[in-house]
Amino acid sequence: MRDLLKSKNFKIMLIAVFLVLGIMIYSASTSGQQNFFSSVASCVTTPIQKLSALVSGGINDLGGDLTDIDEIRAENELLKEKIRQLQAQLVDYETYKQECERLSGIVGIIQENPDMELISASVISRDSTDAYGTFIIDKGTMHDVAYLDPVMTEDGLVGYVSQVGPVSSKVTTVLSPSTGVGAIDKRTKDGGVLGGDQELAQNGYAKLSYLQRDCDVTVGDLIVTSGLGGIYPRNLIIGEVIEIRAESQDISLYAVIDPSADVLGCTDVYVVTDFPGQGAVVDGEIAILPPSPSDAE
Amino acid sequence: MKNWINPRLKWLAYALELFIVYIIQTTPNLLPSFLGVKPLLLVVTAISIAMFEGEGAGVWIGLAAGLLMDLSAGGIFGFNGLVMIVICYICGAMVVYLMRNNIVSAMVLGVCGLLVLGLVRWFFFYVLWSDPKIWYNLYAFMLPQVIYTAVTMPIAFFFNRSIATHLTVED
Repeated sequence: MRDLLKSKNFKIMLIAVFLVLGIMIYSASTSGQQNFFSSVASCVTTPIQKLSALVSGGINDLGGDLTDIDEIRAENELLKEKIRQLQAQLVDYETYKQECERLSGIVGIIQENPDMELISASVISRDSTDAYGTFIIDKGTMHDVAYLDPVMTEDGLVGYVSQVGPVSSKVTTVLSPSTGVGAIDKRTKDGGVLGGDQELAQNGYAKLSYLQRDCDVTVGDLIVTSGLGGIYPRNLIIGEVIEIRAESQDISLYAVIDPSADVLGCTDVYVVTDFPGQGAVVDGEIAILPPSPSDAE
Repeated sequence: MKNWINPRLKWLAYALELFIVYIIQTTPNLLPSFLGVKPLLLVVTAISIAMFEGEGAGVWIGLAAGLLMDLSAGGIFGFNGLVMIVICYICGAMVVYLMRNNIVSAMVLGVCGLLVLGLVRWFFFYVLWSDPKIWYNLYAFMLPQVIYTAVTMPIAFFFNRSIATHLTVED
């Protein structure tokens, strides 16, 4: 044992340990930015990961088509039936109008944020060690992506850019406890802070905390971003309330949110690079102000 | 004997193997999930290489595998690298000084290495932060991941034994 501790290999191991400790300290000091080592490495790995993500997606689609042929046939029949029903509904003008009004709530996001600038990005890598679905996209500072930029899909909010490099960026999802999104109930305007909880995250759910005891939030309500804090645009769809529970540590309530976007499985996302009201970042940290229903109106 | 083999070829093969395993591990929707977790293929690959190449090479293999994991991980860059250096060094030294180099040792070292990595991550990311779901993380995330990853250890072991056997230059 003593020989082992005096051996050359043991000394090499100690040198390597201190080397990596130095890298860690340097890395911790560059908050929000990829350090030199990961920036250089990501320049090499990003194109290959892009390719493998593309190939993987293709194989999954092909494999799914071949193995689920019966399911696809059944689904096809179902869809044909639905098309017939929809054609019948189209004849009825009033029904059509009501449907338009319902959909306008979703389209409203774009209507209310005409100045929002989006760039599309592909998910090229997912972190297996992370329970909250952290992933890497193929866009970085060279494509105008910045630290804390919101990330979304057509269906809703996915997360934010937690680390940015020249050609790739790391995205922390809404399932993570480190995400603090000011959010409100679209119907009642009750406000809370959306974050994560590991048990919920494993099932793909998020947590809307700090709801007051007398709030009117109910199951089925739509949750959207409040826009407070300047990190996320107002009225981005987050998801739907599926359960309301009491907090164990205090008297407040929290809602279990089923995100509209497929947070753990999405392969293509949009990064919101600019929107009106963006920029309330204090010392590189996310500054969440307490939500106020009147402001979010 | 096998003097026609370039001694660097083996290390090139190991480097290529680590890189391919990294791509497989991180490519979205490629590996199937088991109880909501995905395997850490880089850990078992690095441990099995360290078993055949000894503790000295294990340091560098562990460093490379750990830093690759850090590239896609959410924490501080270098964290996995640091832990993997120590794990691979110990695994290499165990085979050199104490254990036989066979599949049983590989399974034991693989599971121990995965448990150490998981427990260190658990301690620094959950216990120190007083996460309310400390125990949940342990039994619902870490343990399934250790089991799922350990299942892939024989593949890594026999594959790297093949590389070590066929690409080692004998005097």
